[in-house]
Amino acid sequence: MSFFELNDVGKSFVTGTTSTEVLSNVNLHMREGEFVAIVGFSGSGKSTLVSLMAGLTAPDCGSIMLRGQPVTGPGPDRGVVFQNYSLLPWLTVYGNIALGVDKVFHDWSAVKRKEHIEKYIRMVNLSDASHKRPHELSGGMRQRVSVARALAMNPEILLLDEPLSALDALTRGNLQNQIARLWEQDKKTVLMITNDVDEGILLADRIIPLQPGPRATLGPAFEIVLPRPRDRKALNHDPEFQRIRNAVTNYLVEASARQRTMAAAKRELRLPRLTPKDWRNAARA
Amino acid sequence: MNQPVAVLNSIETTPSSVPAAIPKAAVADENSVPRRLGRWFVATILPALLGFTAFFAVWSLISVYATDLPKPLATIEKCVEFVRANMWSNQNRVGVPMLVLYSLLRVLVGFAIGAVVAIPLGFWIGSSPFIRSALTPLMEICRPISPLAWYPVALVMFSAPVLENERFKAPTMAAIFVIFICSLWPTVVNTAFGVTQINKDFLNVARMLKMTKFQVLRYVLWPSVLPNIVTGLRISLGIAWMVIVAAEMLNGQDGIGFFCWDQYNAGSVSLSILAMAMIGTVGLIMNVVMLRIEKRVTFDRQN
Repeated sequence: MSFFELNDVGKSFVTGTTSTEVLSNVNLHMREGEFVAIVGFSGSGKSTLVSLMAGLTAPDCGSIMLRGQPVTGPGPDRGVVFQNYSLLPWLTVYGNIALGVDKVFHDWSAVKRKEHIEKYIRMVNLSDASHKRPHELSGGMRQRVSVARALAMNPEILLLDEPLSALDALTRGNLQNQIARLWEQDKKTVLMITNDVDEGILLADRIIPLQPGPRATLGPAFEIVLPRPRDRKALNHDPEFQRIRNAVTNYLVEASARQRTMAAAKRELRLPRLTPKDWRNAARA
Repeated sequence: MNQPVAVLNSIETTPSSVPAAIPKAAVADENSVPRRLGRWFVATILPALLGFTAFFAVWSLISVYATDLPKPLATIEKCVEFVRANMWSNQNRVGVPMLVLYSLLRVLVGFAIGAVVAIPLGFWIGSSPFIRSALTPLMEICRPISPLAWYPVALVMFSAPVLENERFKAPTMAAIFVIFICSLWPTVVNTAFGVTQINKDFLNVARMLKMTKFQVLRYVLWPSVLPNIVTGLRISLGIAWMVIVAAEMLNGQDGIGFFCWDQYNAGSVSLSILAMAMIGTVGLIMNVVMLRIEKRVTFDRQN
């Protein structure tokens, strides 16, 4: 019985009369306090996977269990950091985080809730901007608010749906360090979806590639035993890091090539050589 | 891993490649107060004055062949005389500002009832495809119907013996009903549009927080749709104001629309034009107020 598990999960989407099987036979078992990264191509169903895990959509088959209880719907015990931040634009930074805190901790006193919110604003280094609205913040700051909001709800598991994809490379590096630091403090169970293999290896305990769709499934997991805290510059020269990176990248590239040849093979429909049987002559002969 | 490349440090700018700097004193001169006032005058006031001049020119032209139409100068003279003498109390009748107030009151009552009905209706239409299909044909037919065409039905509705009341006379009630029925539609359409424009991600956030339906409405739906609602209300208010003038002209006892029509019947077209100017001014003020409210409520949608 793992802390968080997906058993034989499958999901299809129906558009018009065609049904595309996006995910099939997805199996995942996570320990408590583990940081798992799932890497994959764009369009391979990563966001669908996060929706399923968060409970925003229901799987067609299979089950998703958190602490042995099936996941039936969304809830604050599975905090999600969306790819597009999803901050409410009419609320300030404080207001956005307060939205979740006031809902989850409604039995706390106002003072206690205020302290809690301010603690998380400080944690992501946004104390100066707590009264600003999202449109006044940069992309990196917005994502930090999104992370603070998810953490402030004290979830059992934190789901990051490509949190740093929309940012430039430099901000991305900064935020990766921040996420690593935040995780070190709480040791929450985190599942991060990313399209950057390096990012996955830098942050996670385990990295799992997701094959390209349709019928995407999780590939073999690669355990990362590199010691923490991990220094990006030093890692570049670490042989273990390079080995894992190459292994994951090769797996993904091969999986993609295999999928392309299969698709191509389906397109070239080879008909069997048939000639019509000459019945008249056959009868005569 | 991607390392930022430090190329910029190695580029040197030679003095010849940089253009001669504009001296600070010259820039200060450009932005001095008299210069800025001058620019504001030329950009804003002057075109408006030219516009009005063109308008008066066209008016004079028309009054050359339409001999009953008073010329601009004559009109202004008569109006000034009237304002000085009779405006505030007109024998045993009420002064003109009071008439404007009566009209405004009717508008506000009809508009308020319309808003209270239109906003929930807009939410309903925006969120339920069935209701949208059910009500859209009806809405599209009712929307183009002129207020003057609604008036007979409204009069008949409010002339029922059971509704007879000294305070609420049939023409007043009918006018309010006509305002109501004509000012509904922009608010309904805009609200419904706002509901369809709600970002699905916000709803996902609400679901993640396990918000009850009422909480979703209050914390997510309402603030998100509010800018659209206020836009709809602003347009509705403008329509309501136009409608009351028309309704009063048709069958009113008092109000600025009635005053306009009454003066025309009494032969005094100048005062009719004065009434037009007052109607226009009040409409302008209401629009500006609504725009201010709209600005305060609008948020930057780009998340």
